Amino acid sequence: MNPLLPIAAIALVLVVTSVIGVYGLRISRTTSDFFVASRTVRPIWNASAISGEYLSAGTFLGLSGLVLLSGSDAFWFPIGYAAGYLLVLMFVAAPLRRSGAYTIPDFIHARLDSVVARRITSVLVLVIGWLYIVPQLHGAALALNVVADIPPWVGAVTVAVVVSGSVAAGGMRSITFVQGFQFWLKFAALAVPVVFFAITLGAHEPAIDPSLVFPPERGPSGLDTYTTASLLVALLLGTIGLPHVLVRFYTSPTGSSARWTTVIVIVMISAFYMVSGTVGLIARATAPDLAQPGIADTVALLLPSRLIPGMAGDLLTALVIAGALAAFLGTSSGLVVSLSSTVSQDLFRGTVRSFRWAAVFTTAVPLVVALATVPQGLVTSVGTVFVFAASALSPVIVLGIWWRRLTARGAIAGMLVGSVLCSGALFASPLLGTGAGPAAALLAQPGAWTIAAAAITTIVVSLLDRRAPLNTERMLSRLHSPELPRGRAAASADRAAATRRGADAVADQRVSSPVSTSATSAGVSRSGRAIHHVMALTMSAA
Amino acid sequence: MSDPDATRTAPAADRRHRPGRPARERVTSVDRPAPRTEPLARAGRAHVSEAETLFTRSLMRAQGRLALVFVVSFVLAVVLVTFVISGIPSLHDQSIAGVPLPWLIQAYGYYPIIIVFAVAYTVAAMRTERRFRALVEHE
Repeated sequence: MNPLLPIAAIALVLVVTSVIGVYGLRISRTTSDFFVASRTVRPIWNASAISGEYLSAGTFLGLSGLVLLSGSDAFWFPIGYAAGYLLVLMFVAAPLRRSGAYTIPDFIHARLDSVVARRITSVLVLVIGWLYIVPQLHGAALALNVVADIPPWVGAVTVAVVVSGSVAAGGMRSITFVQGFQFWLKFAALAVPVVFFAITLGAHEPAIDPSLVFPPERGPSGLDTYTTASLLVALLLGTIGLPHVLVRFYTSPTGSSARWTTVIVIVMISAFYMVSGTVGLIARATAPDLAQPGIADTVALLLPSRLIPGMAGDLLTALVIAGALAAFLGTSSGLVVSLSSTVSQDLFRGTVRSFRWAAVFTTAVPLVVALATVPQGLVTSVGTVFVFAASALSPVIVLGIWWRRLTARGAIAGMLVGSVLCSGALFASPLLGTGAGPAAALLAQPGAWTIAAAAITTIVVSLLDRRAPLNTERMLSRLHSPELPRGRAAASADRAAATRRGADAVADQRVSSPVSTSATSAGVSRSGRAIHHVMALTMSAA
Repeated sequence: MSDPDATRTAPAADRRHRPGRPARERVTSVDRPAPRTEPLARAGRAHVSEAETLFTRSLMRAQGRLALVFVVSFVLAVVLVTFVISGIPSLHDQSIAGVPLPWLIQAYGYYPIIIVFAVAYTVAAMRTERRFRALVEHE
């Protein structure tokens, strides 16, 4: 294969990414531009960007690899990732948008009024983000190595440098555009080859034996009930606890638009997963020799040149590697943006400069880990992150939104129990191997019981604690009250306008300000004023 | 507000893109830089009226019930489909383009369910919010 084409494709993606990043830099004017794209992003672009950062190396390369390697079990991962957004939609999307928080620690801090809870959440967010970035860098190393024979470390370092550079330069605003572009690139990079495969394979009837290629015991009938259920529960709930999901809702103007954005996201990622799964099915029929651990994840990259000879195959390979690169870059940049926000607000004063340094720091750590470790299956590595997020953060976030008796101590206890039990099980599982006997499945797939343990601990400690934060009613009313429709909002907005203009001036200068001030004028006035307005009218009528 | 010491400049530049928008004014804080220790969403009125608490509570309960009903029915739908594709071996004899039906259903069949539930939930949640708003306005 001609190594020049893939390298040209890689260079093209990097150039386009930096051009959009630089264009974004020119319009990133204020601190809130850097953090949340100033809430002027259209739903379709916002949804593209969310999908662009959600679809990672795990599903771009890893899904087809695992379908090839282990069979239809692999499909549970994308099903769980897509259904995870359904739970995000039902339980957190609109309330979190209305909360005025940029990051999960912001939300926990605001809801529970506890600095300790905030710091613990920050640490967990960092751990989750880093665990998630490592497989992306592994994927980059693997992909560039296979396609262009570039040494593995070069691929990982390239992605890390581009990500930290573009995040530091442009912040969220430019990242939104970059990731919107990357979603469509990823989608095309798998959909176009799939169309070509279908035409090629359709022309000469495949001489495959279904019972050999798709044996029943590798199919849905071979599933293990506990393992599947535990994995699905963790994947479903894990999405809620991912650090880069929450910040995206803040770029939607209202809670309702956050919901519709989520619906569009679900449609987009579902379409992508179907295409990526198709690559896996085709791989089972045409490339059984690649079904080995470590190699299977490269099947999406190797199929085009195998199935379609000549220049067309080379061009398709270049397209796939461009999409793969977009997958590594998209997810890593989204994560680095949220981790940098967290680090810069918790360790430094939250300025643009500290955000830039935090971007470098938060990429450097997973890069070192990625260089020091051997890649495992990409889709299972990403799945593990979901299990940890679901155990450590999701119960507390959901209870924080829906349960008024949650206290800071309850949340801290729940986060500690969930994260300690889950990481303990995940570490013990490979150490003990099959020696664990009947507990082996419980350790390998701990989600079902660690999530339950975290939730029960949170509830019990909160009930014993009784020191509910003073602002509970205020926060909950803000989280759940719908925004006024445009026409009626205008009247109350006029009254708030003077305050808001002042607030925006403050909002531009410090990271701590835009959330509290602009969110106050937008969120609280919406929730509170409806009633005040009504009460004033009633009283004057009386 | 959280920044009483901040130097304010008014009128501030409108941050939306408009032709002829005023140039950006740089505003600086006189606060001592420090890591965040103040909750950020503290702003707002210190007291929430009883009416509002009631309003929020019932809205929350309605929305929570709605979400739970949808989650439970979604899980039931998933369990049902999974039971069908894993528990009926004769399905395996049916195949399209060489791929057995259970494999195809697992690869493609769950996403339409997820999408239908997402759209239905969003419509229902918006209807609840509209109803509550109407209730408050007619009171």
